[in-house]
Amino acid sequence: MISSPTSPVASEFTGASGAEPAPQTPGTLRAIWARFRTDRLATAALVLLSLIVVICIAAPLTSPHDPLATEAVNRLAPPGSPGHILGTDGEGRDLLSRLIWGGRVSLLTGIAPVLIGLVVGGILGLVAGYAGGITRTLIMRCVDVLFAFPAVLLAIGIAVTLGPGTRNVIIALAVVLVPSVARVTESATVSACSQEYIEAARASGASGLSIILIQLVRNVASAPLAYSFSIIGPVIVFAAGLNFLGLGIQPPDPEWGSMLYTLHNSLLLAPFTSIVPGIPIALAALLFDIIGNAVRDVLDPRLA
Amino acid sequence: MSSKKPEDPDKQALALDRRQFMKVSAAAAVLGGPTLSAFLAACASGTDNGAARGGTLVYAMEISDLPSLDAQTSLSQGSTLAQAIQPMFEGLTMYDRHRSDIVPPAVGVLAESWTLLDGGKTWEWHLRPNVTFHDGTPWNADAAIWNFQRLYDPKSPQYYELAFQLMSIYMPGPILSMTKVDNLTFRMTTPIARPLAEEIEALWMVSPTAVQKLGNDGFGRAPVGTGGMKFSKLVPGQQFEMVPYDKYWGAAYKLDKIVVRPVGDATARVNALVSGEIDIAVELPADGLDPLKGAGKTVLTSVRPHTWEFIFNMKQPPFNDKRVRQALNYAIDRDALANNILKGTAIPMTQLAIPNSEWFDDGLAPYTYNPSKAKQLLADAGFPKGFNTEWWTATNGSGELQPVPMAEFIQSNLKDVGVNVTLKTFEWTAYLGEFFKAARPGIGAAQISYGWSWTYWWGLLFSTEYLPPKGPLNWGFYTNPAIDPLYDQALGEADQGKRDNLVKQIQRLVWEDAPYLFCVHGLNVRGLSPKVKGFINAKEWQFQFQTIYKT
Amino acid sequence: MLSYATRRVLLLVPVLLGATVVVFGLIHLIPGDPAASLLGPNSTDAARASLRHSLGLDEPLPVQYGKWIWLVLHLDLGESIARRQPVSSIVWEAFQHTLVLAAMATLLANITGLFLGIVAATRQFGLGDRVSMAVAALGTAIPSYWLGLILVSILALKVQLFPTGGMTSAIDGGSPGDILWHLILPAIAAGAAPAGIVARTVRASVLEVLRLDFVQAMRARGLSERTILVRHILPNSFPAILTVMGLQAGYLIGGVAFVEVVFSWPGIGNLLFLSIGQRDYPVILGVMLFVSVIFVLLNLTVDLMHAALDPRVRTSIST
Repeated sequence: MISSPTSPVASEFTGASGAEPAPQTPGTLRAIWARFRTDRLATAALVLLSLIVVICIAAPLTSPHDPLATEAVNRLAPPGSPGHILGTDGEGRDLLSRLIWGGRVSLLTGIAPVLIGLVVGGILGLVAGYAGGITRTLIMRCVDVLFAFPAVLLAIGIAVTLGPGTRNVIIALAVVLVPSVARVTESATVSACSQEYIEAARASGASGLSIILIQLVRNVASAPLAYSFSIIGPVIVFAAGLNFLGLGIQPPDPEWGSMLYTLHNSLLLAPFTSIVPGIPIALAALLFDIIGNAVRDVLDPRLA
Repeated sequence: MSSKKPEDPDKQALALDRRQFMKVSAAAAVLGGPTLSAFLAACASGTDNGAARGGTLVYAMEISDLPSLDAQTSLSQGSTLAQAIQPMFEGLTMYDRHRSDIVPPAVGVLAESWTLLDGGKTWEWHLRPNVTFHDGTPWNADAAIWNFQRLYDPKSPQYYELAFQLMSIYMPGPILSMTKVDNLTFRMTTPIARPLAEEIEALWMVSPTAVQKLGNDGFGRAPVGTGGMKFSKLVPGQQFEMVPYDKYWGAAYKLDKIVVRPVGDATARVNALVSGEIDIAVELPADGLDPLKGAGKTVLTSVRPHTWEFIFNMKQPPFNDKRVRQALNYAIDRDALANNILKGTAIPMTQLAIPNSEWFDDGLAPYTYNPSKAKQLLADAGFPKGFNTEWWTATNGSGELQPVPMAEFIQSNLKDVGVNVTLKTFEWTAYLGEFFKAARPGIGAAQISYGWSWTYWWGLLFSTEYLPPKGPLNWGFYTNPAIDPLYDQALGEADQGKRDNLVKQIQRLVWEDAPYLFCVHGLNVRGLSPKVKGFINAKEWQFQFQTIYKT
Repeated sequence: MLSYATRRVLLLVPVLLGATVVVFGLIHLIPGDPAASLLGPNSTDAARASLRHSLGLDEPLPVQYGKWIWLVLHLDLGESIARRQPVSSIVWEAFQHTLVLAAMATLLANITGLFLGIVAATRQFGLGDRVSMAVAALGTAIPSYWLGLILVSILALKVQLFPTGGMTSAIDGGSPGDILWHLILPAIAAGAAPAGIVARTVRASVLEVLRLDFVQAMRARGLSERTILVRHILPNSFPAILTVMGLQAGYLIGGVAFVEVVFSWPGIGNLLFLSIGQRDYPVILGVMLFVSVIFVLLNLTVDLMHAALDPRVRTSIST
């Protein structure tokens, strides 16, 4: 029987779960490395993704034009126009440059919330699972409250309340992700705590606290890590979606989702240009998905 | 921002321009002057096939929702909703939207004529006989007075505060008294002489019986007026429908049915027009025009008294220096803005009044596109290397055209002369909330668009009497002591020609002071399916449905 | 089972209460002013203050919260500021429209996902597996709003096969056929990602069952692959598959918001988006509250169903 979540959490995004901790595997990093060496698809994805990330981070060097320079006479130039490989947008700005610069924001708003969610949710789940009792009930009930809302509507509500800006989109998404990570971690922690080595560590005395925690974290980490990795792709799509609705980045700064919205006004006039910004979003999500699958397979083989 | 009342004759030579018309009607009023039906008769001859009629028309509104259909609260959405419910309602006067050659004057509709007494402070209205509301209630002096009381008399049981708050900016100043003279005549007295015939054009009459029976909210869901179409169906949130009123006093509407849908997204309106799901839509984005024409749809533009600008914060250096403000006005390329970014859906602003209107001043020099002059002025003011500033704009909104692409283009122009503008944008509702708080330290300018209709408006914008927080529109705290006496004089001036002259003098002062970054006048952009016939492209915020039919 | 069920139901109360606090606190932090939105650009300060007072918006927050909760318990969600209609009817209508869209999207997603997943599992490591999983991966990676735009561009604008948006036709609309016609494109756009997820889960689940001994025994007994699949494997996989389908359906209730905006589908997501723009507080509150109640009940149902099918869950001590 496939291991199933005890509560509706992990499956929301990818069908992954993390209810019980993976068996303790020494040399996990080595295992991942080994996996990549044999899995050509994952390696290719990793290489491509790294390339994209590097290009975007190095935007000042890699961007052919200033992403904010408008050229009113050259609006919506088709791809292949002189000087503009991918053409220009509705204000005559180079599309490729805007995609490169926009990638920094899109990738950031996809990855940062996952990291924040991992840390905050992980800590909350760990504490709840280890401490038990009232602490656990309190934390998990608060988590339940956030679970009462569909992720998208909650994120929209928070982002609108906080106001425009990339930082607020990150916060909104982090808030949406924390409960899921917390639950996954808490489940894993509870199961881990019932295992013998923890009892032994406890029995060994006061100084055992730090040992327990390190042991615990090492055992429990794979669950939230695998989960977090698996949702980076969907979160990038989600974040771009919030920008698409106008909730995050503000003009004239580029970002893949908000570019998609602005250009949708030109859908009839320049159909190709209008849908181009969606390509990197889908591509990034796909690459993270492929890599995430490989990583998860290593961290938690039972899910393969 | 949209207000509904232009008053500018057009360049095409015309027997009667507005000024002459007002003189004629003032005289004729005593004799029971021109009425709407007379104009209709004049128009009907030779304009279309009198026998053609029929069809169901689908009209898309540029708001995203279906608010209350009560005519007296519709202005909360600018003229958007008013345009959609117009077939059901009429006012004492209305703009004659059957003309496309001139900016239409206001003509008597529910009032056949009117007489000015007491130096213009009292208006005696002679109401049209044999008119009934859709529910059979007779139109008479009692009904008229009831309607005005609903807006202006807090002591009356039907007083509707929300409606008053919405209308008060369109008809400023109290009504001192209303008295019934006979069944079809009543008098209205105001503290000073006002051009009421224009100012109450937006005030459409509702059936007292219906409001009393249904309550304000209920009436908003099942409105009753005197217009040629009557309300037939409301699907909440999705559409409402109107069908011809068989006991209408005027020329029958030709359509069998009008369906109105809210389509707030401009691109969605274009798409729905292209695919044939709707027949008429307005406020279309510039990029949609070529695809529409390519799909065989008709695209019409017409002038209207609209302006789009950034208001400078006069309290925020360096905008307190006139040279800086003028410099920026020389730094932007209005032609490119109107023709490239907006693709001809706007015209460059050469002054606040639109061309060939009665306020248009041929002697007033426009701000040309002259970046070197701009840099010179900036250097004179002490900013040879330019400066940084933060400006605010909305992302959408009534009358806003395409604020973000326009603002970004302007940003780029200003960068060329060394002025680095950081743009902060807000969605329309949030933006209005911020805009009404007036200028604050740190904000250099805020964008807004205005409609320009009547004398009162110049005071709201430029006189010291209406500085915030008293008035909402002089965002930047602009003052010029020379303007106040001109404005006060204009307000009380009964002679139209003299009044216009005073306004022109105000305009001169304002133009030279440059409290705004003057940009463009937006045009009406109307898209029609080729099946729509009999459409008259009125030079006004709204068009009329009466002559339209579908093949 | 009963004690588990009771525990879960009792948990509803504090969770829902907490949800109301979150919702209330959240929307009152939204900047902007409903009076400005309602009265429009040409209103005066005094007018707006007066309207705020008549709407009770100038009372202290705890008081407003108390009044609101009291009304909610009486199933009165107040009146929309923009439309002057009862919020409960607006929200209920919009929710039905979302349900229709989510249901269709779920249906398409489940059918596609089942098909892809079974093909992949039964042809493991073969071409069918790789192609199916590639399609599934694409489905989850492609943003629903992007897919929606592409569908509109090709199937509604280039060739006018489908409408560009809305739920009904303006003229003589509203029949089930008319709604179905308007439903197809948004349902496809919204269902692509869930389809991919379902496909993966089905594949994993079927594979796991395939590994079990009794399958070999069946094969040894000479039963055809199809019989084994349909009569033995799928039923064993059902709990996991159904769980995922339920979760995806739940996710879709909020997740279709993007598609609703792209297609102007008059559902909850679109309503929330619009009413936030109008600062229509009663509607925003009503939507968030209503949705959270539905969502909590839905999750409860999924959990109970899951517990009924998988006994191990009931003894788990978490939540």
